[in-house]
Amino acid sequence: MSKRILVIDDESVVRRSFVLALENSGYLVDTASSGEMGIERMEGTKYDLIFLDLNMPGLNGVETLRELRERDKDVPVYIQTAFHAAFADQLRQAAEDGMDFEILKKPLSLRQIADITKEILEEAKITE
Amino acid sequence: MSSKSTKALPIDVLLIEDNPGDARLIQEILSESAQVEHQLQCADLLSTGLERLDKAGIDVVLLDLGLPDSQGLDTLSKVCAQAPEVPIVILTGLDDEIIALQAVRQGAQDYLAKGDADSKMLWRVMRYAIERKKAEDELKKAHEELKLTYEQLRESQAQLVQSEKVSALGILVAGVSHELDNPLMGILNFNDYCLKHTTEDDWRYQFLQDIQHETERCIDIVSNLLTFSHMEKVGEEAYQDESLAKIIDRVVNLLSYRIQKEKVSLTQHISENTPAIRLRVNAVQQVLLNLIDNALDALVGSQKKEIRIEVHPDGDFVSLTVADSGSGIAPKMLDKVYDPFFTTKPAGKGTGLGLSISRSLIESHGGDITCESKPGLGTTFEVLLPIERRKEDNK
Repeated sequence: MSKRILVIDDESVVRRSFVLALENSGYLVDTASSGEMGIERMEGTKYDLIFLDLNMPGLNGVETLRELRERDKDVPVYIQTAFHAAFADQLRQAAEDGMDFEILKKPLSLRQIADITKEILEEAKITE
Repeated sequence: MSSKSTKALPIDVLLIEDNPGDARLIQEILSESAQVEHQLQCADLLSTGLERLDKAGIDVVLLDLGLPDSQGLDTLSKVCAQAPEVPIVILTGLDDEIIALQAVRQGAQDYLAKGDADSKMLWRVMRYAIERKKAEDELKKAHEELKLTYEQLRESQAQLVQSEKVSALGILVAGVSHELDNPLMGILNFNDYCLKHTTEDDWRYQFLQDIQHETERCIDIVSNLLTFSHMEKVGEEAYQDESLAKIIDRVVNLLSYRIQKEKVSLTQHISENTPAIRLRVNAVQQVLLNLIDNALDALVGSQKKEIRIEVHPDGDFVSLTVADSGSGIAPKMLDKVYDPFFTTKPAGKGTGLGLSISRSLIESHGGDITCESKPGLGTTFEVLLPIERRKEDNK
């Protein structure tokens, strides 16, 4: 079965970049334009990888992370941001509370997106 | 209030007068007033007078301007130069008022016509001279202090204005940069997508590649701007022990293509007793990259193409210098080189942020960066990094 990826970002540019980067990868890519929508998507679907934006109206990235960790403790979450300084304290707190996540630096090129995704999902396969 | 004149301590008077009659007259007048304790020393030559003045303790000088070894206002200026702190009263003949007034203008406290003086008047003139001189000196001192304070104030005000400007600019720049991040990612990726689906023989392929390069350039600029504005904390990088030699190697390696292509001779002189220091490797690397990059830019069009990198311990610091044999920086530009957005490079070749960023990176290490330049001969940048870092920075 194909692996499923969820991209949560309020910028359509970013969501579409992920879709384009992964269009022939064999992975299924879902997108959500807000934290709230992302969590809604998780209700019916099990994801193998989630890309999450930090700076969003409504639930921000850290708040969304807390919500989605209640639903899935293990899915790898990659937070992508150009500046995590503004959210540094919240992120540190989340890490101290035992939330797993990684940070990716924006902007990401198609190649970077494809490579990172492949690396995470293929590595996950090996360790399974 | 601590002065001799008000405390009834003996007043030391030096009389410089070549005419024995006049000298005797003054001596007699001074002695008439029994209630003023005083010691009188006499000199009949300027040279003898100056010698006496050399030994401290003279409270007031009575000076005749016409002496065998000096004449006129010249006499006054020599005495002033010898003992600027001692008040001088000029003794004149009856018809010398004009020159006496000039003397007062040039630093004498007062003047007295020899034939005119009685005891009371002479003492009053001398007392006033002493007090006035004291007040004058205090005023001068206060004025100097005020001037110094004013200069310091102006300097710190300028610094304040500069840092205010920079911080306001930083906030603005960070805001704009963040706004640009997503659109740039869009341009980069949509173009990349088109590139992927265009064959190389398509006449549009080259243009898509150009778009890619230009977009990457924009992304670099934005990333530099963010570093500059401190929003993206270079400060989050941890300190670690690292030898500068290794950092230099890496940076020179990174630039080796350009160094060879432009036929630059780059030499390294690293003192063996240089200790490894605690630093933020990426930050120092960025600074060095920037300095060597600038040096290479300065060598474009130069006959002699040399870059000399030198590292040696210097007291509590390690000194790292990057010297080029390039065109140099005009003196009036020198204090502007750290200003954000200041650049002399052609459009597209520099953002004018490199040295501004470099300076804040070095300052965040508790170090310093200085620049010396001789137009036509070259420029040397020196970075000083402290060997011992304070504990709280070592987290």
